[in-house]
Amino acid sequence: MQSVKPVVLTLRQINKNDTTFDVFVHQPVVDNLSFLQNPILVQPAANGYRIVYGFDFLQTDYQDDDRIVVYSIPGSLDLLSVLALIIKIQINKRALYPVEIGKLLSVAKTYNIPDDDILHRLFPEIKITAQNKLIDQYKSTTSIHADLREYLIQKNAPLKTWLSVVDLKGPERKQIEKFITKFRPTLSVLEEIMLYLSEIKTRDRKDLATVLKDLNWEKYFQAGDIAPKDSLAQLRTAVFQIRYPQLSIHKNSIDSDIKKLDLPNNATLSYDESFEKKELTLQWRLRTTKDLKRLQQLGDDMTIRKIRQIMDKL
Amino acid sequence: MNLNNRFLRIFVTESALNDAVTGAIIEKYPGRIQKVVPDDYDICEDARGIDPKRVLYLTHSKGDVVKGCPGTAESYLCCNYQVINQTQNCPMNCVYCILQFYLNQPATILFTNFEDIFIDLKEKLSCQPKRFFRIGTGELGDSLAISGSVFFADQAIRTFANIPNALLELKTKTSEADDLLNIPHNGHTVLAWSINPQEIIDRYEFKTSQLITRLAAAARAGDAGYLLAFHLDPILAVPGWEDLYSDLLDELYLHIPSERIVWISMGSLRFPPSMKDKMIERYPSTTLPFGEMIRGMDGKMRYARPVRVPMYKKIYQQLTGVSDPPFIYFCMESQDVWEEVTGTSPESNAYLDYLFAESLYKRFAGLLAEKPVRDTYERGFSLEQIPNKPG
Repeated sequence: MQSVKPVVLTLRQINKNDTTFDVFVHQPVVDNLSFLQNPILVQPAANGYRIVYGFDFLQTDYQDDDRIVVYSIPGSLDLLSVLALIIKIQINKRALYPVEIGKLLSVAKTYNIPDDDILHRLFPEIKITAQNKLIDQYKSTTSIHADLREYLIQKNAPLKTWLSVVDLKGPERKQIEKFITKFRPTLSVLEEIMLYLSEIKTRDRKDLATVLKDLNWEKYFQAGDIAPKDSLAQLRTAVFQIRYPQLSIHKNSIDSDIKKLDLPNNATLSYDESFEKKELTLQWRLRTTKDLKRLQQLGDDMTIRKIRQIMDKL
Repeated sequence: MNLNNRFLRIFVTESALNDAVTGAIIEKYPGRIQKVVPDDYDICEDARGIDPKRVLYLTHSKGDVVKGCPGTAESYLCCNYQVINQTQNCPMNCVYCILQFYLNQPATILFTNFEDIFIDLKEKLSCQPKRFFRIGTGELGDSLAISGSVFFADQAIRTFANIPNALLELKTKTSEADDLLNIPHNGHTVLAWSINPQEIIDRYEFKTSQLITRLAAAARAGDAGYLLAFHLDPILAVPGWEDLYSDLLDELYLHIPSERIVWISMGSLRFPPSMKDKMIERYPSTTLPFGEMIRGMDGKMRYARPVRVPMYKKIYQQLTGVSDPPFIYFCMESQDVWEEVTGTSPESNAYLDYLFAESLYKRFAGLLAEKPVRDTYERGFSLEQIPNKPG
């Protein structure tokens, strides 16, 4: 943009309280060189200049009389154009997080930018399909609590996950926050737990409090001697059992039969967990003569019969 | 149930305008907004914001209308069924129906160039004269739910009456078959009904006929000498399914003698994963997508085998527990499931196709001109495929 001009300002000339455009997640400013990668854009406003891009630098310990180089855009540039400009700059670095898009759209709505302009000017810059319903959906992500927001950003969660958090009512969201704080799960595990809980709720026509009570949810948050990783595994199994009761019974029965085979540690007998393939897979690591002898023992009639029974049961 | 009044707008392309049937179809919709458009006209803009189920588009077909049923991935057996896609979309609203998501078109399409379709059909069938085909119009729409489909059915029945190596199957969830009863069908048309327990119809099959009226219509069709078929598809794993399906089958055999039924299919609920969210969006209170489903070998969501096999077993036992049981088959099921439920499994799609012919030959004397030969089916090909000419 030709009308962007470099200017030298003292910090005193910049209104640091005007955070209208403070929409992007702040990156830590390591040293002064950060400015080379993160330009500061300002716009003339009442009482000096307001920042429109580059709020990261506010984390530095510059003093009010320090002079810095910034880029100034015309004061006449309208809000929609400013938003389009800062999106363009930011998206060159990385894709925007849903909450950042939500904040951008909130600014636009606050200043009464019509939806049509949002859809046809901003959405193409953000590189998302122009759909009316997305405006409210993205905006709703700004209601998510900071800790949870940080987690979703860190995990680079897609909009769908953000929205499933938004859909949670206050107490329900608190439970998910508690779950994340305690277990720091991967995104896929979080999505699995949230999806299953939501589906159980709808299927059984129960509220979440009742579903959690049925699950004995609190038990998994009490420290005890169990490592969080093991608690999480137990919790996932418990949720799965309620979501897929018949499948769980079948799976438990097969697992129990396989366990009874008493295979050595270097051997595993596995099956297709969707049960679509009616087959077993035997993996046996052979390193010593003893291993070979154990393998030979597997061929006795009794064991073969037991494996046959498992195959039939599959 | 008259579903004709569902249509708000009707578009007729210039090529369809002079077809005899076009006038007859339009007469069924007095007072509806009608527009004649060029053949290459895109109606998307005119139909924007209107449910495609409420827009009717009369036109001529381009490409193959008569072809093989697409079936599913090779990991599941399919029956080498052939289809005539003259009607595309359906005015009824079944929660589980893939058409509402699968058909990416702004209207319900009816092809009015019946003659072209029948000429194409006869040519294709003549390429494999020794093979006996089952051909249906109910793949991408209901065979009898709208007038344009019924007009086609009428002429198709008359056409198939003179085709020695094929059976026409008209598949419906309506009870609107009475207009067809006096047509000379020569035993070459099967009238088929998709059925489910009434409780499931009430909850998931909106704007369809009641079970009892479907069965009564089937009984009248049987009395008129038509062969009959039934499709238990999709079977749904709802609480109390044992009693629901048991009562359904009691009801079926109470109305219809098994010896008039050429075949009965079984298939459990299945859909592409992307349809799950769309189903929830369209029917927010439905619990159907939350069954114990897994992603099958064809990528579609379906009930896990330990869930669906017990249902199949119970239904199969009841279906076959009569004298002269109909030919029972699965739609899109694995060999493992066939074996678990029936104790045997076809080795291939072609063999399953042959088993149909064999059953028809044995159970319905005179329907097939000669005893079917398995090799003919093994060497068979879909109707849209053009055989290599020798030399």
